[in-house]
Amino acid sequence: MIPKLSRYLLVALTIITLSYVLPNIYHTLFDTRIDTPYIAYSTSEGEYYTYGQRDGKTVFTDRKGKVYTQQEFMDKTPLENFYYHLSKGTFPDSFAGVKLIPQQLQQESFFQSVEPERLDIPDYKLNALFESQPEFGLTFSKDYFRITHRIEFIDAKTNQLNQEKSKQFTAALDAEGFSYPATIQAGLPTLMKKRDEGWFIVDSKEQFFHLKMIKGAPFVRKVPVPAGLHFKYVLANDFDADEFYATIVTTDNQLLILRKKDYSFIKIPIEGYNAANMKLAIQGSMFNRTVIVNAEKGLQLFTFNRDYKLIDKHNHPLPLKSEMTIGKVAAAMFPFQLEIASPYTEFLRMHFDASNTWAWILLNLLFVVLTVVLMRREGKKISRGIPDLLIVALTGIFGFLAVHIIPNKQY
Amino acid sequence: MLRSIFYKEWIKIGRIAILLTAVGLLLIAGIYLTVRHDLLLKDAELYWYDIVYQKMIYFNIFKFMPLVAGLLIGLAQFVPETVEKRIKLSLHLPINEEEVVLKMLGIGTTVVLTSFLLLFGAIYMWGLVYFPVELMQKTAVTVLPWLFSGLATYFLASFVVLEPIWKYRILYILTGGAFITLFYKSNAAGAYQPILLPLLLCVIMASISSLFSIYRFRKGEM
Repeated sequence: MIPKLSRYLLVALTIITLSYVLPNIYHTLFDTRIDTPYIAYSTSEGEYYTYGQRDGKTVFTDRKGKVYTQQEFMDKTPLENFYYHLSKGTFPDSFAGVKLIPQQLQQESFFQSVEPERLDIPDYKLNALFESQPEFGLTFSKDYFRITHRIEFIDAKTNQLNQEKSKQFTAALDAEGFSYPATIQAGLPTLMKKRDEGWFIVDSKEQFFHLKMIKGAPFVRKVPVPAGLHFKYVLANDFDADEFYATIVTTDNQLLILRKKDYSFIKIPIEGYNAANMKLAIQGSMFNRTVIVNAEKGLQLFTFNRDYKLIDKHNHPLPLKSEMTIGKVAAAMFPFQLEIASPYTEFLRMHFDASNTWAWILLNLLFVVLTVVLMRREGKKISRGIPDLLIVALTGIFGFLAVHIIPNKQY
Repeated sequence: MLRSIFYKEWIKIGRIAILLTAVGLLLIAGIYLTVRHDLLLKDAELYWYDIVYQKMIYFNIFKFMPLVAGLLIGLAQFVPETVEKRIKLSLHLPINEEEVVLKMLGIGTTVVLTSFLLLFGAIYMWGLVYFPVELMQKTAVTVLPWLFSGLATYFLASFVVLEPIWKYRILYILTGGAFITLFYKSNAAGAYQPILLPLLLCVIMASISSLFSIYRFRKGEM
């Protein structure tokens, strides 16, 4: 009985391994590249221009599919490609009655990407709080803080708590009604920034706080949160544009910004976004904001004016691998695939991804017939091989290989 | 009977297990003496920065140590049994054959686990001298799949060595090797957190694999 059990455990383990390895080998050998085009919203033309690849050649088109030369593309996007026009001497003096100053255009431009694989990552929950108003430029803090039952500062050199600073900052958080522990901490712990804005912290009651250190003393500000907002990601920024402190994604996939001038949350009204499996970017200029939602099935662009009222939107479909030959063959060959790593998270998770068609049933039946033929040839009794046949019928190529790698001799 | 089996197994794996544990402990000592040196000579906050924000794994040199230990202990315990088919003697003892093999495996597993527990304890406790508990928890989550791979390699080594036919041995090595790669899929500290339990279940599934080889051996597969 136990040897039989050990065999079935081995068969199961082999199926698990093969359902990971075989699809991976297949995709490594036959994967095809899907080019994601660059799409620019032209403020002057009120049109989306695509800079993409077609049959190995670079092609410039508008959303109706009209083809342009690269020169025409540049001419249609004078504000978006202002560096090019500055170098050529074709930079416009004004647009819509506004005098154009290159430095201002540059200052007002920003690009905020929201990439799930950089957000769903293991977090040490230890962070560095810089001095926000240093005398001689930004320097690294000597300690790291944690917010558990209070805020604690740990000196990196000695690994000891700085009790005095911990008490001082805990009192400041307490005074604003902080509920421990912190669930999200977002900041920019780098010296490659122009100024320090400290940390944006969500507490256990989903209250939102801004924490800074100014001249060695705590600065804590509780930010009123609109009802029903559940934070998933908070991303701080250091843009010259100076419009907002942070970008926020909620658990129900709403996109918001935290405005600097009045600490208000402004909702950016986009549709069809899922933070779990889509990338997103906010592209800002002096005149408008374009949000690009990058999903497997295509790009969705939403352009807003500076008050976040929708001006225009555009959908650019992308070819789906599951509808290409590579995907169809994989779906027919593998009844399921074990996925461990995902492009949307840094964590490893085990899940079996079922085939999206029923074509694999045919191949599974073929493997069952082949197993019966092989059993007959080896003189085995079919009645004693029924569990193996069931395994092959359910798991196809993986089970077929597994029951033969771990052989079932009938003694 | 258990004492006699333990004595026989200890003769085979005692010395190599002690040696491998000592090598592991020396490796950990090397890791932490380097950490101490770097914290003293460099800016400690930047060293922490590399770990917390730059994904540095300061103990990366330890990565394949458990795998090598599991493999060598497995080979040391079971290769002598296959020379001139000595395993036959154990299988002819007046007790249940499966029980003998399970006891042999149990003793080997205890030795491997004791060694790994010592190494894990050393890496975790020594680390607390230099780093806060948050950092050591991530260290633990990163080291655990490496230790699991060592244990799985021990089980698979016994399974492969006891298999009587070379053709199957090669197939087992290929599949086992592919299985072991699952423990080395990420270089990010803490990435294995959600998958630790499923992986441990897979290791447990492999734990009695050598009973299948012994069954085939007993049935006269050559």
